[in-house]
Amino acid sequence: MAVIDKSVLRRVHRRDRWARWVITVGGIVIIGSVIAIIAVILFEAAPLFAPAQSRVLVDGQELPDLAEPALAVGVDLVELGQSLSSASITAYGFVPSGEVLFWDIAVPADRRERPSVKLVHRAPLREFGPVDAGASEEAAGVKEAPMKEGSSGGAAASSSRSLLREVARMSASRYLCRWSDGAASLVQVDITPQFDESGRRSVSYGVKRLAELPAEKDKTPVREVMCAVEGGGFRCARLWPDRRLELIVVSVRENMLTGETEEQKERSWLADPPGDRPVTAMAFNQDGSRLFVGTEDGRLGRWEFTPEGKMRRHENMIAFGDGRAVTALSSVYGNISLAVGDSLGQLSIWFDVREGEQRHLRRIRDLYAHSGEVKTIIPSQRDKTLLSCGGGKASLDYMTNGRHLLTLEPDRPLVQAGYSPRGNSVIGIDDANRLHLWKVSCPHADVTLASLFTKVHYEGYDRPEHKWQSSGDEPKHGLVPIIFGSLKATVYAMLFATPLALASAVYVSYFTTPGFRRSIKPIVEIMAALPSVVIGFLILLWFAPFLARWLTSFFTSLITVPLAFVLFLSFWQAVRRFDWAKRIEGGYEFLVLAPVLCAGVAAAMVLGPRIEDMIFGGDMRQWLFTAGWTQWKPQGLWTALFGSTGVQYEQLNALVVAMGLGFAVIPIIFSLADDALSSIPHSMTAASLALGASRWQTLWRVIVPSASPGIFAAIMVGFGRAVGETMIVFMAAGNTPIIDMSPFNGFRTLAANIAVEMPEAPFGGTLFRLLFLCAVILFCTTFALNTLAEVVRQRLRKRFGRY
Amino acid sequence: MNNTGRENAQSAAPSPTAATAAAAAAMGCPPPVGQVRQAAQFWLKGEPFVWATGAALAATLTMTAVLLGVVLWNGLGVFWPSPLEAVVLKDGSKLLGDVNDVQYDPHTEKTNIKYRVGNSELQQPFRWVSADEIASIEYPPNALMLDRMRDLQYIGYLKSIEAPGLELAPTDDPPAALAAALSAVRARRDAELSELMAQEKQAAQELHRQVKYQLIRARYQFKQLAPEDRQSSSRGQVLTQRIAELERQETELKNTTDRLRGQINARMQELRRNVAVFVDASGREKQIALLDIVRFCHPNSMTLWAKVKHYAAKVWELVSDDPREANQDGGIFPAIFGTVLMVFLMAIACFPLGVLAGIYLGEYAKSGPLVNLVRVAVNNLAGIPSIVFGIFGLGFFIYLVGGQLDAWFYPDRVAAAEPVFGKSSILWASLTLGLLTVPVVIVSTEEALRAIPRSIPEGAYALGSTKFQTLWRVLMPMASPGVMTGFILAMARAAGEVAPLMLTGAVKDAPLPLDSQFPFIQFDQKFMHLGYHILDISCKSPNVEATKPLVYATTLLLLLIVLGMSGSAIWLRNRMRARYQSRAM
Repeated sequence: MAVIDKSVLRRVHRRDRWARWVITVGGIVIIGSVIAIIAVILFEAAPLFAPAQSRVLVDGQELPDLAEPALAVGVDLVELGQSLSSASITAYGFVPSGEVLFWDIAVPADRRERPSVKLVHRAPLREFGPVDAGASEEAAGVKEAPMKEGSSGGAAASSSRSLLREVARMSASRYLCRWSDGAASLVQVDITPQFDESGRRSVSYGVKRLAELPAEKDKTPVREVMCAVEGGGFRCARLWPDRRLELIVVSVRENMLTGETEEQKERSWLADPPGDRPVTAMAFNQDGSRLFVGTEDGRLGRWEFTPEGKMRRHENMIAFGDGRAVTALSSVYGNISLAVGDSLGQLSIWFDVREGEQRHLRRIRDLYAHSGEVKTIIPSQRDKTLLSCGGGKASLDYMTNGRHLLTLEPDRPLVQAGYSPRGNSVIGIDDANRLHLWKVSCPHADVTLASLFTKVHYEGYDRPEHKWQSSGDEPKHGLVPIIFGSLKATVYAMLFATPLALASAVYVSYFTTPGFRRSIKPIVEIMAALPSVVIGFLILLWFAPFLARWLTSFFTSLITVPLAFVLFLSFWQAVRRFDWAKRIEGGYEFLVLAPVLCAGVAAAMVLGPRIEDMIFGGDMRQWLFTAGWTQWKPQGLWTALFGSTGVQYEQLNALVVAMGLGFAVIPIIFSLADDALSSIPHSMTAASLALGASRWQTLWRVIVPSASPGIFAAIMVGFGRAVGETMIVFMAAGNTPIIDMSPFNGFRTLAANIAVEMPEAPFGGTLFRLLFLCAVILFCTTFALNTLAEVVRQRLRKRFGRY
Repeated sequence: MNNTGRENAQSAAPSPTAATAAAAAAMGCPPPVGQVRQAAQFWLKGEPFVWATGAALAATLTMTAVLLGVVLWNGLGVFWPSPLEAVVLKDGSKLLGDVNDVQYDPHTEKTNIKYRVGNSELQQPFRWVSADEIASIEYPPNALMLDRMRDLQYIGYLKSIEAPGLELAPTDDPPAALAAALSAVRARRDAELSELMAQEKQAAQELHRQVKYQLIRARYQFKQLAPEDRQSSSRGQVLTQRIAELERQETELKNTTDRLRGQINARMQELRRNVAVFVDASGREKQIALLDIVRFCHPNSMTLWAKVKHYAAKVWELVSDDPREANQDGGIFPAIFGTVLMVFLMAIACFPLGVLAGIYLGEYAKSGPLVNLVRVAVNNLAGIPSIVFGIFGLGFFIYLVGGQLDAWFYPDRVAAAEPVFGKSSILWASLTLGLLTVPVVIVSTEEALRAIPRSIPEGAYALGSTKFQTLWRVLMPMASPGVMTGFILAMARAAGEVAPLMLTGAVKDAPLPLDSQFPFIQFDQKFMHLGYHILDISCKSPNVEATKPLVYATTLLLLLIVLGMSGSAIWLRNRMRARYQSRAM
C-alpha cells in the first residue's frame, strides 16, 4: 500500500474544508438574497399603510406676550434636510390690538429642553380710519402692503384707532380681518426662511394686504367672506343684520396702452337668502366662483357666477333635517368639494352630483365626528387633507377616502387651531391661552386598503367608481381596474392558448412518430425563447392592423376552419382503407392537416368580406359601434357581452393581446404538459392497448386522468406567465385602465402599469410605492401559482417514480 | 392504475362517441359490418379526436412559421434595392418611388399600392395609390434613391453636380459621376477634418470626464469647510487655488473645443458648397450637399452583383454604424454593443454565484423539507414576472445600494445632482438581469449534477478522494455541458429581456459606455439595447411608417442572436442527455 505524504493529505483536507465553507456560505447567501427580493419590494410598499405621525413640538407653553386671547393663530414649518434642528418653525397670532405676533420657535438639539419662544416682530396691520362709502374706490384697491421686515417693528404698534374684532381664516395663510368699525381686510401672511451658504437661518416676515373693504357709515355687517381672484380683483359677500346678503365684486382692469390699472366695483343684493333663520357660515370656493352659505336650521345654499358675471342661486336645500346648524364651511383643495361642519360636531363632504338633468349638492361621506360644534375647517393647500377643530380637539382627515388621520388633543381643550400651508404642522391655543404645536406627517394619506379595492365616490363623478388615474388634483388609486385588466388579458390569452397547447402536447407525446417528437420539442422550446418584445412589436405593427382590416374574416374562420376539418375527415373516411393513408395515420396527421387548415383560413378570407357586406352593412367595426345587433331578434348574448349601446372597436384590443400573449404562453404549457404526459409509465399504455382500447380511448381514459395533476400544473404555470408578461401587453393593449369585458377594447395590466407609470413616479412618493404594491401583488400571485404547480408536479413525480 | 386515477377517468366525462363505443363494447353488441362498420369504427374509436389534436399542433406550428416568416420576409427584404417606378396617374400627376405595400380591399375589389416616394421635407414620404388610378408605369434607368444624413431618403433624378472645390473627370454616366464626386468629397473631408475632429473629441472628453468632476469635488470640499476656515486655513487656500486652477483649465478647454468646432464648421461649410442638384418626379429641383449623401443606388439599372453589394453595404451599416435621425435610420451598433456588454457583465456577476448555489443545493445541502422548500422557491423564481425584477432593481440596486454608495463616496456628485451610482446604469441593469437569470443557472447546475449516476461519485469516494476533489475532478467535468447549457439559456434570456431594463438603464440614445482609461467600461453610463430599441422605434417613434423597415431588421438580428443561442443550448442539452442515458444503461 502506497503511503501518502502527510502534508499532501493535510492540504487536501484543508482544501476540502475550505471548499465546503465557501460553497455552503456562498450558496446560502445567494439563495437568501434571491429570496430577499420579496422583502425589498414589501419594504418599499409598506409605508403606504403606515399610520399618520404626529410629534409634539410645543406642549402647553405660556405665551407672555399674548395677554389677551388670540383671534387666530397660524404656523409655518419649513424643513431643511432630515433633522428638525435645522427646520424653521414660525408661529403667529392675531391679537385684538391689530398686531400679528410672530414667534420663532427654535428647537434645540437636546429634545428634552423646552424650546424657547421669542417675539421677533410686531407689525401694525392697519392704520386707516373709516372711509366714506361713496368715495371709497381708491382706498379699497388691492394694494400690496408688505410689512416691515426684520426685528425692528415693535415701536410703531400703538397708533391704530380701531381694534380687530374678529379674524376669519380663508385658507391656511389667508385671513379676513374685521375691524371694530366695520371695515375688513383680506391679508396673507408670508413667512420666508432663508438659509445662507453656511446653513444659518434668517426669517423674514410679512403680512400682505390682498384686499380692503371700507366700513359703511354707522353700520356693521354681521359676517362676511372675501376671496381674492386672479388678476387682482376680489369678491366679497356681506351679511347685514337684516339678513340680506350683499355681493361686492371688485375687478381690476389694466389699460393696455397706459399700463394703468382701473378698478371697477359692483354691488348687488343676492336674492333669496336661504331660509328665514340666521346664516351661521359662509364660504367662497378658492377662485371665488361659488358662494356657499349655511344656516342655523341646517340649510345649505349655493350661488354661482355665470359667465356674464352675475351671481345666480343654484341650490337651497335642507342639508340636515334634525335641526342642527351649519357652523363651518370650507372649500376643499381642488375647488370642487365643500367641507361642512355642524353643531353636532360632524364633519361631512358635499359636492355636485348629476341627477337627471340637474346637478345637486349631495352629502358624499362623513368624516370625523367631533364631540362638540365644529368651529373651523382649514383645508390643506397641497392635497385633500382637512384640519377641523371642534369640541376642544383638532382632527386631521383625508377627504377622498374619509380616512381619519389624527386626533390632536392636548390636556386642555383647544379654542383655536391653525394649519401650516405645507400641511406639515398644526398649531393650537387652549382655553388657558397656551400654545401647542405638533409636527404632523402622513405622506400617503390618500391610500387605504378600502380606497384601493372598493369603489370610491370621486369628485365630479356621479356615483362611486373603481378608477385608476395617477395624475390630477385628486389622484385616483383604485387597483381594481388594473387587476381586472390583468385577469382579462390572462383569461382571453388562456382561452386561446390552453386548448392549442394541451392538444399539441397530447399529439406530440402520444400520437406522432418518435422522430417528429424529437424534432418538434426543440422547436417549441425555441419558441419559448422568443423575446416578448418581438411578439409585442409584431402584434402592434403587423397583426393589429391586419386584424382590423380582416375582422369579419377572423370570425368567419372560427367557422370555416372547423368546417374544413370536418369535411376533410369525411373525405378521409373514404380513403383511409388505402395503405398510404394508413401510414399517414401513424403520426403524420398534422402534416396533412396544415394545408387543410390553411384552406379553411383562405375560405374565411374570401367569404369574410361577403358576409360583412351582407350582415354587417359593409363594416363590422361600424356595426359594432352603432350596436347593430339590437336589430336582431335573439340579442341576449350580444347584449349581455356588449350592452346595447355599441362597442368601440379599438385597434389595440383584448383580442390581439390574447393572440400575442397566448403565443408566448403556448410553449410553456406545451412543455410542462408534455413532461407530465411522458411521465406516465409506458406499461400503462401498453396494458390499455392490449385490452383492446383504441389509441384515443387509452389516452382519454388512462393517460390523461393519471397525468391530470401535471396538466393542471402546466396550466397554472402558463397562467402565472400570462399574468406577469409585460412587454406584449405594454405594447399592444392600449393601456387604458377601464373595466370592460368586451374583447374589442384595451385594458391595463399590473405589469404594464408598472412599466407605464414608473418613469413618472418620483422616488418615495405615493405612486412609486403603489407601483411596488403592484409588484408585490404580481409576485405573490405568480409565486403562489408556481408553488402550487411545483408541489403538484413533485407529487406526480413521486407517484409514478417507481415505475 | 390506482383508485384516484380510475375515479378521474369516470368523472372526466369522456366524449359521447367514446362513451358509446365503450358502452357498445360493454354490452357486447354485434359490431356493424363492411363499409359502415369501418366508418363507425373510425368515429367510435375516437380517431377524429386524434386528428383534432393533430390539427392543434398543425395550427401552432403554422402560426410559428407565419410569425417567423413575417419577420424574415420583412427583415431580409428591407435593404434590397427594389425597382423605382415612375408612375403617371390618370389625373396627370407623377410620382417616383418603390412599392412598399400592396393591399387588396375585398369590398371595393380594388388593389391599393403604397409607394415610398421619400423626400420627406417636400411631401408625405408615403403615398397610397389605387391601382385603377395608374395610367402608366415606367422604370427609368437613371432614377436614384439617396440615403441622406438628414430627412431620410430622397428619390429623384440627378441633374447636375456643382462641385467647385473638387476636380472631377467628366463622365456621361450620372451614377458614376455621383459616385466619383462622393468619394472625392469624402476624401477631402477625411484629409482636412479627421485630425481636427479627433482633437476636438479628445478635448471635449477631457473637459467632460475630468475637469468637470474634479471641479465639482473641489467646490464641494470648499463648501464643506466652516465659513471662517475658508479664507484663513491652509486647506481653504489650497482648495481656493485648486478651484481657480480647474476653472482656468475648464475655460481653456472650452475655448479649445469652441475654436476647433469653429474651424470644423467653417471647413464643413466650405465642403458643403459642393452640391448635387436633383429633380424629383414632379420636376422640383433640390440641392443636396454631397456630404449629406450617405449612399445612393439606381436600382433600375443596377446589375445583380451591384445590388448584392449595395445590400451588403446596408447590412454592414446596420451592424456597424450609429443611428441617425432619432433612431429612424442608420445603424444599431451601439444597441448591439450595449446588449453584448450587458450580457457579458451579467454573466460575470451571475454565473459563478449561480454555479456555487447549484453545487450547494445539489451536493452539499442536507436534503430535508427546508432544502426542498428552497429548491421550490428557486425554481419558482424563474417564473416571477421580469418587471418585478426590474422594480426590485430600481428599489434595491439604484435607490438603496447606489444611493448609499453615493452617500459614502460621492457626496459631491449628489450635491451637484449628478449621482454616480444612484441612477440607472449598465451596472445595475446587468446585476438586475443577473438576478433574473441566476435561477436558470442554479437549476441547470443542480440538474446536471443530479443527472450523473450516483455510482460515479461513490467510486471516487471509495478511492479515497475528498468531497471537494470528487466535485472538482469528477463531477464538474461531467456536469460541465449541463452547466454550459444553463449559461447559454441564461444569456439568451438576458439578451431578449426588456421589461427590467426599461426601469434600470436602457435608453433610446446613449454613447458607447466605454472609456479610454482603466477600467475601460463606464459602469455608471446608461446604454442602448436591441430589445429596447425595438420597443422605442416601434412604439415611440414619431414616424412609424418610416422606421418599420429598421424595426424588422433589428428584430431579425435580435431573433438570430436569441434563437441561435437558445437553439445551441437545447442542442447541447439533448446531446448530453443522450450521453447519460446511454451511460446509465
